[in-house]
Amino acid sequence: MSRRKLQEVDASSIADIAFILLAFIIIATTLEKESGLPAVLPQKRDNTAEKPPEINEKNILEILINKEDQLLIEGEWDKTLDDIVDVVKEFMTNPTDAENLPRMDVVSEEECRKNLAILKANKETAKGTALGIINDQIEKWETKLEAVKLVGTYRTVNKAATIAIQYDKATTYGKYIGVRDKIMTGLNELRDQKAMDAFGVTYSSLESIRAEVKTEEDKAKINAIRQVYPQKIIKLPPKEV
Amino acid sequence: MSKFRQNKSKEVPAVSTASLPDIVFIVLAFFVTVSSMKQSDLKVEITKPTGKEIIQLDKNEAIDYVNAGIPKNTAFGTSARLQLDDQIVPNFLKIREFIELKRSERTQLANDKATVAIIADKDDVDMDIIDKIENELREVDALRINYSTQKESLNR
Repeated sequence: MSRRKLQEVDASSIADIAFILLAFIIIATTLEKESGLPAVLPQKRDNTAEKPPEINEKNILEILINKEDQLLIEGEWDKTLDDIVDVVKEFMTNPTDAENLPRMDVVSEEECRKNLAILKANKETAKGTALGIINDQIEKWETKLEAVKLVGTYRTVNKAATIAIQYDKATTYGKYIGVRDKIMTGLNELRDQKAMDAFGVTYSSLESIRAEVKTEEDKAKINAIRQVYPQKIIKLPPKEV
Repeated sequence: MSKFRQNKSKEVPAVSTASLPDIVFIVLAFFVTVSSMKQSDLKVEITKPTGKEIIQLDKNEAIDYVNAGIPKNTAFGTSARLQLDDQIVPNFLKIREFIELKRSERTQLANDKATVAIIADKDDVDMDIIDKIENELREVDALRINYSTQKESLNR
């Protein structure tokens, strides 16, 4: 056995190894996160399903993009993307109760409780599909009640109101996204305003809280604001325009 | 005074580099945690559309990518094509297979939260293509989608 103490391994090259690893990771990765405009597609409709409900003209805000990427908003040509913001805001709030805009509903705590009481009474006797419908309704009114508790009595568009985007097959994707983006701008401005009045913070700042630190309270606030100004955008099947 | 003079004659000792590996490892750990691997190489030319109201997707939720644009390699033609994973695919029907394949690699719970990111060129892709993609996605019930969009620069 050697009497000499074991010599320490020379560690100076570890720095070099670490540097090579570092260089590899930097090259192979990206800091950019995936971001964009979220959307939910409608479910596939089987042909046997019942006819779509009657559509009332005033409940639809039609934005049309033709094959030359020109905009037609509610029958008027020569609109720019920026016009959409105001049109959407007017459509969603109908500030003057105009006849040609969707009817507004006022949701109050009293009304929610009243409807819930009726529904729960009906639930006792309901069976089969009727029970399912009542359960859905109860859930709906409960979310409304949650919202009312947070933001107080609110005014919202009736549930049939929809923003519809019509386009041609040759419309470019970029233009379509531009339109969607502007619709969201209009909606988010309204939401920001509502959140500012109710909670003293903007909706976008609530929304941008990272998922890991978002509390239940934040989520409830976001849902309440979404109840007041829901995102209802549909995409009509393409046609020659 | 004599002490002072003595010091002057000595050389400045070299800075110890013993802690350098530690520093580098900390930087390395930082990069590993904050970054994600680049998705497969793009074989189609894509300039994403720009927008203001974009939302960042949660990194922890599964994302499947559907890319559309004009192929970089002209052997694939000069009109817009679809790329799934690493390949340019011949038709839209492949989307169904692709989604089913991705689903089989994950748990049910992860699948429920999965999003399909549509990454398409803003000028070269027309709505006909987007429409066909979406119809295929509806066929396989992949309803949560995200139109991949770049942040609009503030100075317009």
